[in-house]
Amino acid sequence: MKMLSILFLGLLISGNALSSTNILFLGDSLTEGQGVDENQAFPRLVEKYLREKKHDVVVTNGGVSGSTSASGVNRLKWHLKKKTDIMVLELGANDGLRGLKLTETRKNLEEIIHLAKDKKVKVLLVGVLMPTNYGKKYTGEFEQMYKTIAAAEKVPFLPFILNGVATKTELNQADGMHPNPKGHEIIARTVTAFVEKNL
Amino acid sequence: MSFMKFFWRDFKSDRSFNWFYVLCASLGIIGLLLVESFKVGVEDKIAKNAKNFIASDLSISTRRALDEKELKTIEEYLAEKKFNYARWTETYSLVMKVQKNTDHEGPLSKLADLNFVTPEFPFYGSVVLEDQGRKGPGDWSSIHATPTVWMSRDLSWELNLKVGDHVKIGETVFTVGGIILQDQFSSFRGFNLAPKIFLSYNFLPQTQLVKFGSTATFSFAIKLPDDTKTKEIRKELRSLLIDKSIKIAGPKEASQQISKSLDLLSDYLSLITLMTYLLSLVGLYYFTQHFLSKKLKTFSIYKAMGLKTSFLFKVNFIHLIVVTTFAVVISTGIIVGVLPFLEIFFSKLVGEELFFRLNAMSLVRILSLSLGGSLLALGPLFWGALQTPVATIFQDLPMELKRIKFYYFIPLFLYVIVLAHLLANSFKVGSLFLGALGAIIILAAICFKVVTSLLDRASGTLAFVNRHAVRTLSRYFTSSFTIFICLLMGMTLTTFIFQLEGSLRKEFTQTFGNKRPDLFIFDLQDTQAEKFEQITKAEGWNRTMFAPMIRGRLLKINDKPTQKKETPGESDVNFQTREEENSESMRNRGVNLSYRPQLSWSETLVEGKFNGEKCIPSKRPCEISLEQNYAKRLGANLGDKLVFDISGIEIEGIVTSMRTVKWTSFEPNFFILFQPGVLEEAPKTFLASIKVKDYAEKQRVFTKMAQTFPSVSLLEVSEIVRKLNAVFDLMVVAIKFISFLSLFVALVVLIAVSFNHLELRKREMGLFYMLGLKLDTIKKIYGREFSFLIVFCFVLSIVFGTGLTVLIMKNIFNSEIVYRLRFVVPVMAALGFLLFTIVSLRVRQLVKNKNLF
Repeated sequence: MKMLSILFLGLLISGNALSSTNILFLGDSLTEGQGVDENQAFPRLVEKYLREKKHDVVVTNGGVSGSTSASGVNRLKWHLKKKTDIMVLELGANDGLRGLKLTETRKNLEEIIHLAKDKKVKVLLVGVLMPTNYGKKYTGEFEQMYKTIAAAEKVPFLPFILNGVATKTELNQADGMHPNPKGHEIIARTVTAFVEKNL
Repeated sequence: MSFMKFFWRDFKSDRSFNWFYVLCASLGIIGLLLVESFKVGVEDKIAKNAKNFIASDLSISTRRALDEKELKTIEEYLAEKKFNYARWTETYSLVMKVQKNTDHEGPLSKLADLNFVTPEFPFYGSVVLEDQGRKGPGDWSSIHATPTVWMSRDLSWELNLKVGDHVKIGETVFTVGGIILQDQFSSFRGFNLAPKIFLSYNFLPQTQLVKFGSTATFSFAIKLPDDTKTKEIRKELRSLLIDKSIKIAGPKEASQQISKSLDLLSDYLSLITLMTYLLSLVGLYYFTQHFLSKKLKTFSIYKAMGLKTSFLFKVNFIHLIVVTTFAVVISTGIIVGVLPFLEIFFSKLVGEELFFRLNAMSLVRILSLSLGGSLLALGPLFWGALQTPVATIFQDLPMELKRIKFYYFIPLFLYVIVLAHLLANSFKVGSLFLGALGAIIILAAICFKVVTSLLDRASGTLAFVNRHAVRTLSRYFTSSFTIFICLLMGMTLTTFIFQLEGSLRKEFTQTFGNKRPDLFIFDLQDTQAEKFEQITKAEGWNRTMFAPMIRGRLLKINDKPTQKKETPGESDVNFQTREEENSESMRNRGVNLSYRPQLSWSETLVEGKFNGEKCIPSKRPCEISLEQNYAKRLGANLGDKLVFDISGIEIEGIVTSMRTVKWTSFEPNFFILFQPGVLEEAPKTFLASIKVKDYAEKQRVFTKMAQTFPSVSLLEVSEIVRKLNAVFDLMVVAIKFISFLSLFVALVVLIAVSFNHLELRKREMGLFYMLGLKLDTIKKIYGREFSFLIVFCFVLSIVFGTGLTVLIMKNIFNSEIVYRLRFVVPVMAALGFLLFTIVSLRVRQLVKNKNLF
């Protein structure tokens, strides 16, 4: 515990962390950058691109592979121990892939957003789409769920993070699900524009 | 006299040698052929079982839709070769129960692993349906006629479905035609996340599930004619389908677990083949030595007549080739003739269906092994014998072969190393094994010399019978030592085989013992952990493991970054091949960490000290335990400092122990374990495993978990384990059977060696009799001598055999040894006693035999 406290303290007293805009990416394997270098995963690239555009930002990659929306609240509590100004929420894809009830997913995502708002953290919601093999009904409902949350919670919303990357063999790893470094680069460009607009 | 004429006369004059040699060599070769045929049979059967996993001989699969050109290439190739094939498309989707009155909670739907197959499917393997029995190749027509599905029992429980009910999959309504109790097919999509459904490929378009934006695995299951060389077909297909994302795999590659176990079994059986061969070579060597000691005088006479040593060697070498070839032909004929009967006999004996098969390659291998080994082992004996001076012509007693130099056997030594390499596909196996045998011989020689010298010094105080027995051992050192080494090697190898068998059997069976779980639960949240604990206790479930899992990323080892620092897009474009990408993924992927107060039953500490006490980070760095192979891949050693990124926070620790993990235990295990006290606060999920008592309890767990934790995933592992178990059971039978077979070969060789040794002493026995010793006293002298040799060998063989097992298990099988001394000691004692009884009977027979005098 003490060691963690020291680490947090270290981060808190860092002048850089105090003056910069701290962005937390809370997500799953896409955010974590499963299968690629941490520096090649899109959150780190977003940091790089924003800095190139003279924005003083510090990004924390809070992605955990395989995570569902149910883990979000607890993980956010962990991250909120340090200064966080913006949270980019990218969760729910694994809920969909496992065919979980969307009412549960929606409830979880809303809880995360409420917690962030309570702590004065600006929320940016990022959505994903389900593969078409999940059926018209489920994929439709899944897509609608994000739109409904964004509207209800009045948070900026990026409908499809994998736009321009999904289904393209050359931009994905062998599993066809996770982007390769080139795919992450495209995602980073999309997300950078979205974040920059909402800084 | 011409060469041929001389050869023929010499050959005829050694008639008794010829017959005995053929008999001895045939015994050895029959042993080898038996081991080999059993090995080939078992491998065949296992390979056949593995074919069930992919329902075919060969599969082409890809996780992306094949384009028209690729499809055309595959179809044209298969048509040209006239291979039968089935299409098999696997995808995940939601399956919804069609209900007349939908209640307020909405329709029941669950994720399922959908397998769309064409009517040709399957070529191998089957499913067992509730009330309908096994459905193998040719029995699947009912799902192709109308929209019908066969679904796994778990799914029928979860959706409360029975045969005749309807489900909606994609845009089509299907009738439940069967509930699957067992299925032999594996999934192309790795660890199955969802229960399986089989349905006809004919209805795939109607479901509208597989189209642009879908994730699915598209496969061709190919049936090859029996005589087809799979390797060549794979090579041809690979040259046509250059994209490495298209996998072309045989049954072995379909399951890594099967593949690993097969390799292990193959290594073991090859080692046994090598040992059985060495055992028979020991017998043959001793027998030939005996024959040559009798023939020394004849050689001297030939040389006195002016024949050159090289000429005589040529004659005798060809003699050896002829008799060995004869032995090979006879033993092969016998084995080929009796194989069908052996199958029936041994299957009944062990109560399991056993297979004995010989293919052309295995025959060639064994025959060249027999011929090559015999010539290289016995050739030097002949050459040594031919170096005997002509003067021995005037000696009356049988000579010992004293002119054989150690370096004569270097070719044999090299041959056996090469052989070990070829048999076990490993230079390490051969070198280690032979090196250890060499060390044993040196150690044994020292022990024997010391003990016999000490006994010789003390012999003055002993009674006549013991004194004579002891002095014979020390004074006829070469002869005594030879039989001692033969006995010792035979007994050591037998001890080794039994110890190794026990250790390997445990390797296979402990995985599937009573401890293995039936259900695997993952993604339990921190907030759900307490409730899960309460339910587990209230319901009385047998929770075999409950482990926290924290996701992290390794940043540094000893302050050196482990992550590849490259700017995306700026790296060499040529680097982005599929293989390089995969390798990069391996290096850069995140890791799952955990913490626990003690190691689980499926983990073994191999180095350092595991610390399960609570760590106080402010006082000293927390300790880390690494899985041994993972540490090797990482290049991490004890004392190294590792730094992880856990959700944005850097956590460091020192490696203080290494573990091995039985991954097939199906328990939640981790490469990296932290000492408790540092990761508790980190975001985590929990993994749990449950062992159920019966079918009803399994159903209760499923229902309760689905009700209480709808977001938690439940996986039934008992079905996966059952599939692997069928293969492993066969391996256990194989190991057991082969061990007893080698014991039998060892006994035959030891008896042959002992008998030959007694033959050498026949004259001495006669001399004793003529000097007035009673028959009983003569029997006692040889009885004591053999008792000493057998007891000495017994003690040393237990020590050396165990040492050899430790060496081989640790270095080749990378596994722990199971000491079976309670079994091995009585077996070896019984073997020793049996040998002693047979030798005593032979002495009695020899002493009574008038030919002795």
